[in-house]
Amino acid sequence: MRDAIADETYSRRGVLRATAGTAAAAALGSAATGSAAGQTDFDGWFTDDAPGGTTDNYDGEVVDRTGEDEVTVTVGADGNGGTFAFEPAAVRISPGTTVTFEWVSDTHNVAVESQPDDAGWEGHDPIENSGFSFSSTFETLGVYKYYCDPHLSVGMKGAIVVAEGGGEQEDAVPAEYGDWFTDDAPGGAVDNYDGETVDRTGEDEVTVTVGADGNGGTFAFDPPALRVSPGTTVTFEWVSDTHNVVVESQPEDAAWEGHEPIENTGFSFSATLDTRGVYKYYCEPHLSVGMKAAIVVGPAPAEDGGGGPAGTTTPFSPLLGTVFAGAVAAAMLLPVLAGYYRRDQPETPEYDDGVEGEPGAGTQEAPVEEPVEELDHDEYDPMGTAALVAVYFLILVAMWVFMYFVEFLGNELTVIG
Amino acid sequence: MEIHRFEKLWLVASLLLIAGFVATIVYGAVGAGVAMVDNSGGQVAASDPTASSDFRDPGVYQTGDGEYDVYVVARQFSFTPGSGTPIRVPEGSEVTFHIASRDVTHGFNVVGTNLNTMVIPGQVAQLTVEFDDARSYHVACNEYCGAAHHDMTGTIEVVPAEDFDESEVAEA
Amino acid sequence: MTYVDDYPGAAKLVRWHFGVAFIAFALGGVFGLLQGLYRTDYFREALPIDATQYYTVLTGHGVLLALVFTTFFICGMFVWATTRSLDRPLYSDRLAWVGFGSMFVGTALAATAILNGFAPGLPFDSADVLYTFYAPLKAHPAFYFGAALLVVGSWILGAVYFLTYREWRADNPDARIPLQTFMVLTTFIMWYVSSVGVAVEVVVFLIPWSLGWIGQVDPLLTRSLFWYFGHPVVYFWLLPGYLAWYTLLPKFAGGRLFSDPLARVVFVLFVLLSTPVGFHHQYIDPGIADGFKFIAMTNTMMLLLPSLLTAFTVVASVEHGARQRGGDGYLGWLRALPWDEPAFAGTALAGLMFAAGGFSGMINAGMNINYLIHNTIWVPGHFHLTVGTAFALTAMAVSYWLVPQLTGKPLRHRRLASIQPYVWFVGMTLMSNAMHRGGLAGLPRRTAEPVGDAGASAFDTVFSTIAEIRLQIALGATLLVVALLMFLVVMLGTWLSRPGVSALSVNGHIPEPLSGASNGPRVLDNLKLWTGIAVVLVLLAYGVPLGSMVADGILNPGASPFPV
Repeated sequence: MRDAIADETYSRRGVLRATAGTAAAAALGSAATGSAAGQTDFDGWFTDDAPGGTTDNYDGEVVDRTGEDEVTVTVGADGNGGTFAFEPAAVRISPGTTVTFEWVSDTHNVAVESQPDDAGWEGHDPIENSGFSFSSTFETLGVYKYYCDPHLSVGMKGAIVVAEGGGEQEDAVPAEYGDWFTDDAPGGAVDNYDGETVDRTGEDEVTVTVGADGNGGTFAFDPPALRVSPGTTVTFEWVSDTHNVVVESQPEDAAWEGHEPIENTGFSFSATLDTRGVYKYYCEPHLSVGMKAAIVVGPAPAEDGGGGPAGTTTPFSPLLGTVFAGAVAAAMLLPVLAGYYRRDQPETPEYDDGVEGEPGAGTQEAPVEEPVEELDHDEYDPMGTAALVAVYFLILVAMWVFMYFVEFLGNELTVIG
Repeated sequence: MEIHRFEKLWLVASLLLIAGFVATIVYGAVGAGVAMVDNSGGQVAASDPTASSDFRDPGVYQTGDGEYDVYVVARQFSFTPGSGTPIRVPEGSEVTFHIASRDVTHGFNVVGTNLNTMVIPGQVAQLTVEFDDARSYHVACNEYCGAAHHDMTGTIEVVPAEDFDESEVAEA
Repeated sequence: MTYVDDYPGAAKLVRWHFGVAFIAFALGGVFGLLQGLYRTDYFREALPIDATQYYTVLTGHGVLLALVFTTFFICGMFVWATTRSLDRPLYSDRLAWVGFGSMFVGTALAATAILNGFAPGLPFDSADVLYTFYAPLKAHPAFYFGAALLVVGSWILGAVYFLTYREWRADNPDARIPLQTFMVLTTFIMWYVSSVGVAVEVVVFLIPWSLGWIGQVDPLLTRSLFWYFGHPVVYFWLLPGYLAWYTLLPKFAGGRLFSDPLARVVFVLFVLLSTPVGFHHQYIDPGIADGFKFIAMTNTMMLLLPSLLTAFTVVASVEHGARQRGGDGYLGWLRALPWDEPAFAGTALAGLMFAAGGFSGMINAGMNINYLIHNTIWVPGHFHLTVGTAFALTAMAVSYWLVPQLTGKPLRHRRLASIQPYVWFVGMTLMSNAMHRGGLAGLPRRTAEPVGDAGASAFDTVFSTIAEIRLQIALGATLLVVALLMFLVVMLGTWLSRPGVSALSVNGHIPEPLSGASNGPRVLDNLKLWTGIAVVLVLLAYGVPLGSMVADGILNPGASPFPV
């Protein structure tokens, strides 16, 4: 073998550590064939209790791609403090699905942390760069956990759940929006989305208000997240000006076009949504303030009460919020403080500021200090200074010798070439 | 120009101090034989050092009796070798490190020792040291390199000569 | 009559500069405390930041304090020094306001980009690149634009000082340049010569690169350009401190400057030697021949000379003050000094700490010993004594004296002000000695988790343990922020008071030096000559190494951007 050490360095960190967890993972995998695994913590795989850091781009949602033949996972997507994310971090697929891993940034690999007992997925250990891709077909039911070796420490981890579509729940559509309502997606966070998906299944006609109050103005779709049955006609009604409806994504075989021309109050249009899945759309003029929304077509999975919270929508960190609030409070306090400091001070200055064109006495300064005894150049020898700098000189020499010959040359590992 | 006699004395003392400092450094270089990392390591492609003729696949290579070359690639946020598997060399060996980055600027500091260098994309840091004692050293990246900079650490294991596994050495 | 009555326009300019400087100081100081507590692992769980945001805080701390606070304070202080010592208003207040505006917009842009690290909802990408912004780590272009505008704004103010001087010279063809103006002009000659480096780095390379117009930059070349500027910038911080020590501290002590000509010699030496030394920050960089490093070292060591001369002259001037106040004995005169006067105590303690910082600077200047301390926490330990105290504490002390003259308002909270320098001094003593010793133990700087997976015990030495070092750093950082808040309370109280209600407790009179300018040769005032020699020295020290870096193509070996 040409470079044994080099190869070994690409070995899978933590693979042994995870063996004990495999049984639990398999159990989890079968649980995932049920319906309630819309959210799961994968035994803490995405937290820093597992090897590596917290996976920031995992928001608690497993993206459901069951029923699709081919699924893509992006390697090196934005997240985890750089281009250190698998996107989606967790995905659920049906057995036999081919997953393609596509590199969009440099120096990543796909190292397998754990997988079902009788599965033999090898991931892709060599480090690859942008433009590389490989595919694997997953047959064995269960949970596959993997990570990127160079970036494990920042939380570049992923998971794949291979699950059967479950019986009567086969046509259920979970309310999974990825990061659509957060500011990780294009545009701002959606303030009027509170994590609830409004369930209007079973109704033939449903209305969405365009330009409702929210997001810092009349910049909201209401409701922002909506669930309807297949075949429902959704009517969009403008209640304020200059909005449109642009489709961000929709199920693969759906062909909803939204309404791209910009319209004003009073306009409306309707669309009948037949294909199951999640439709995401936004208002182009107001995307940046978070005028985004989604419609789920299809029944909710059991126990998935209209969709759980999909990611956090905190636009500001607590620190910045505190600083900002503190600054505003301080600014409001200033007049109060000024009143305090000026409580005994007369409004008109005591000094004479003169008449037009003629300077006055102005602010009075303290008198110039008079020396106790005047000391001229010729009668002054800085004896004390000479003593002090002599002491300083000796300290410098002693410290230099100590630092150079004891601390430095006496230190381990001298660079000799 | 009027200068007080104390000031003249202090001027002379200051110049002596400066000359003494420079002389100490020269002694360190010539007498004690401390060499500076310089441009002798050559240049490599900033994004892919191993592709360059001046660099090799990361690993430990034997170059002579008790002499080894260690090629280390630094990247966000690990050393190869060093972070996954330790860099392992035998006690009493003279080791030349060749360290290059494949992304951003890093540092390579063997903590508590004088082995310390910047790792700048496109440049190879080449340093030779002698490992006299069998012990383990902690390696830290000491230049900020991104969000998980603080996790970029590694290990050098200096093992007793009889315990050193020759099969770990890559063949040239 | 005080300064604000004589020069209301200039006084307003100085007040605005100081106002921005103090706000940056407040924010940067709080960041410093967050950082100190986070990395020493005190109350880490309670802090509102995580390990990644530690670097946002670190970037903010460095940029706000080392670049924004210093530059605004210096440009404001120099407006005062120029007008006061030339005894005339600025050439153009309007042009000076343009400079201020440029610096202000630059600061706002860079600060927004940095704060984005806390709140990704802001319009820019993050800028966690620290204040050295080494490529190929890449910040949002706004960060680089902001840095460029800050520098350009300072250039405009420098032009105003020179134009004011030219007007004065036309009226006084044979007079010696007043000492304070001489110091302002020499400082800015150095600043012009050196900031060209960062201007080229940012404008020619980093801005086009961050906008995607060029794909790659040479990390070693941009880094070398940064340090071409990065060492002189520390003298840009220090020399205003020297201006205060030479021209104000003797007065605060009750005495007179010992020697005006020697002060001029010192500033000329800084003009000549400040710039061709940048490679001493790159002693252990690969890709630079050791001969260039050695040349940089001899220049750097020669730079000790002006600082050692300053030590003598300033202490002799203070001793003169003490003896004029009735002090006597070899060292007994020290007791006669006005230690309860905040302006004196702050300036003197700053000078004392600089003597200690000078020693760690001598180690930093030593070429091969750099292996021992490079990029360890020793380095921040050093510069918290220099820029963090020699400059910052002097700036606060000068403010106690100058702000009343700029506003016509007597200083409020005088007792608080007279304790404040001592709190800073104790805090910095705790923090910086621990940082120096931590550096010798191998603790890295610039890291959220200094001991890594090695465990704290790997860093314990004969002289120190990590636990004790951490405690001292955390305690010191806390005391420093307490001292900062005390200063801000004094300034806020003074600012919010009414002007002209009573006589000030200070006066703007500055006594003549014991040995005046006329005792020195006129060639000292030949600024063109010194500028010319400085440029030649820079070309000698930098021509060949920079030439070899661009010889293989100005963008090669090229690295693509890595956004943070």
